[in-house]
Amino acid sequence: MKILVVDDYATMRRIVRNLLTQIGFTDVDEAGDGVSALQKLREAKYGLVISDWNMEPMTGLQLLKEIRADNKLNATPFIMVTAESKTENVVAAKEAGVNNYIVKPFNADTLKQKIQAVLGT
Amino acid sequence: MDKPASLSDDEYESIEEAITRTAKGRAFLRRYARRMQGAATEEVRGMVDQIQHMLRQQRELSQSVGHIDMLRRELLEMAGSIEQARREVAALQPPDSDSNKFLSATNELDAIVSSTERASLDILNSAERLMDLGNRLRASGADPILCTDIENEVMSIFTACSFQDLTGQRTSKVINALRYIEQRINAMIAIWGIEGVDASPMIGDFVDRRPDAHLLHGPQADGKGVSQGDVDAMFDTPPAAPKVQPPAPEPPPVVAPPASLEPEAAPAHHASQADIDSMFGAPVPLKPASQSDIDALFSAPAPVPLKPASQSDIDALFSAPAPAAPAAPPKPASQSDIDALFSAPASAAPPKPASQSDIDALFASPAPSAPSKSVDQSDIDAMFAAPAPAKAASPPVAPRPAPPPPVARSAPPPVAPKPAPPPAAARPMAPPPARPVPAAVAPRPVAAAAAKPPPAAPPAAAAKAAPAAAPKAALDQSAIDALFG
Repeated sequence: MKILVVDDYATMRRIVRNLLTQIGFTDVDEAGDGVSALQKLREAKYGLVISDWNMEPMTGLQLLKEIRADNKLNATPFIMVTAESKTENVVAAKEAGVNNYIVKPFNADTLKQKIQAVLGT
Repeated sequence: MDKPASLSDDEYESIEEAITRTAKGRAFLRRYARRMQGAATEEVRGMVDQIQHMLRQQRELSQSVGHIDMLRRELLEMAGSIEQARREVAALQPPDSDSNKFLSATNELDAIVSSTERASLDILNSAERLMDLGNRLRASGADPILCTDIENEVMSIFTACSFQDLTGQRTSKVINALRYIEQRINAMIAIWGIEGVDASPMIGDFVDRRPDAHLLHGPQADGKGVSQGDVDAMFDTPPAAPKVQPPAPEPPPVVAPPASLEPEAAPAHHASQADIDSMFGAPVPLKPASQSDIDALFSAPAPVPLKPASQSDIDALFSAPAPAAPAAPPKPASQSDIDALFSAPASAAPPKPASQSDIDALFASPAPSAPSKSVDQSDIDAMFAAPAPAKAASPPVAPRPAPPPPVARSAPPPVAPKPAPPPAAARPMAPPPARPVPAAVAPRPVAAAAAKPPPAAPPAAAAKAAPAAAPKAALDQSAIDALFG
């Protein structure tokens, strides 16, 4: 299964990629913002999107809404990984259709469990 | 008009006598006297009122004078405060931009972000190499438990590296706040017209009185300070002493070129060893000096100590264990024992493995994934169990409590010591079997993520979406889990 990691901070993408590799997901692609992520999603099939929120020019929430509004993409599972931990953030993400939400800082266990919960494995 | 007729005393008395002869006349006189007394009283009372009024006015006038004095004093104090504020503002905005405190502070913060990012990358590179080494060890048949431990530690390093993300975000917020304050200060300067205001330090201002305070600038930004090459150049500069060309050495001393961090900054002229010696007052050797002689001149560690200490001597100084230990590879049995004691993964479990709660109870370990606040075991369970029930101890958020999941998910699959090869396409959406994850290797609190706005462009960070501006820990992961059921 191909996973798309979206974060404007390259080091964070690298960290998530390494964690995914360690927990068994080796097919990982990266995008630096919502726009490029959306482009990648429309060009290839991804089984999961793990995205940061605070990005420019398109935030993770905007990306999520674009995905949910796209008939071809709206079934793609989406996990938000962000430092935004206010209630309003979580509620907004949930209303937009996020499948799960991880607050930074997080660890490999949390990431693995959320992936399992979202994928139903 | 006729003048009123005057009345003599005799006439008055005769008229009075005539009137008092009758009762009506006497009554008239009494009533007349009363009326006259009342008029006089009224007149006196009016005069008293006037006097009182005048006295009141006088008093108010004197009070007003006091108020004016007070007002004058207040105005003087306000003027002094305004003048002090103007000087403070002028001190914040010195004429030369190099000593602009706001600019300096933001540059320092930018430098912090850059340096921590560089450090994170270096650590990540090393961690990836370690992971590669662990994989190679596993492939070469090394102890799988040991390999798993290495991988778990490397994963901890990965997650710990994400501290730079949050650090960068918070630093950017501080930078934006500084810029905001600077804008306000500039607005005040524009309003007040600070030019010409004395910006010298005032009483109460902090003044560094250390004798070398003027030399204490702290670390310099890139390109501001001197490089090591510049420093070397300053020490390599030939002194005033005459150069002495030593005779050709028999064996030319092989001196490895110094590993300069910035070779481009190295001086064009390289002093000879004799030049350097002459700078430090060493007599020019009559015969070529060997490298050991040069080392001795600079108090370098003697290549051959008079009484070399053995490793055991050094260990004894530090109460270290036997020196042979580092060379010996750790025995699997002892490592597993240690793992079992310190919450090793299940794969290394002894015959009777303790449960996580037992281990936690023994070590009172903090919650692994919520470093910002202490949580109890139920919080941890909520994080590790798929459907986390909302509980009272969790933050009272959950404006939309998610409905409980229709089917309780099973616990995460047991950790296998060595992963089986991933099934090719048995289940397209299923992830391949995971490598042993540090289920019991206490996942350390992860510093995490993402230094957002690049330090070079903080204004862009300020333009980010409003909700993204504050990484405030209002919810912990367990509360979010409760929201998602």
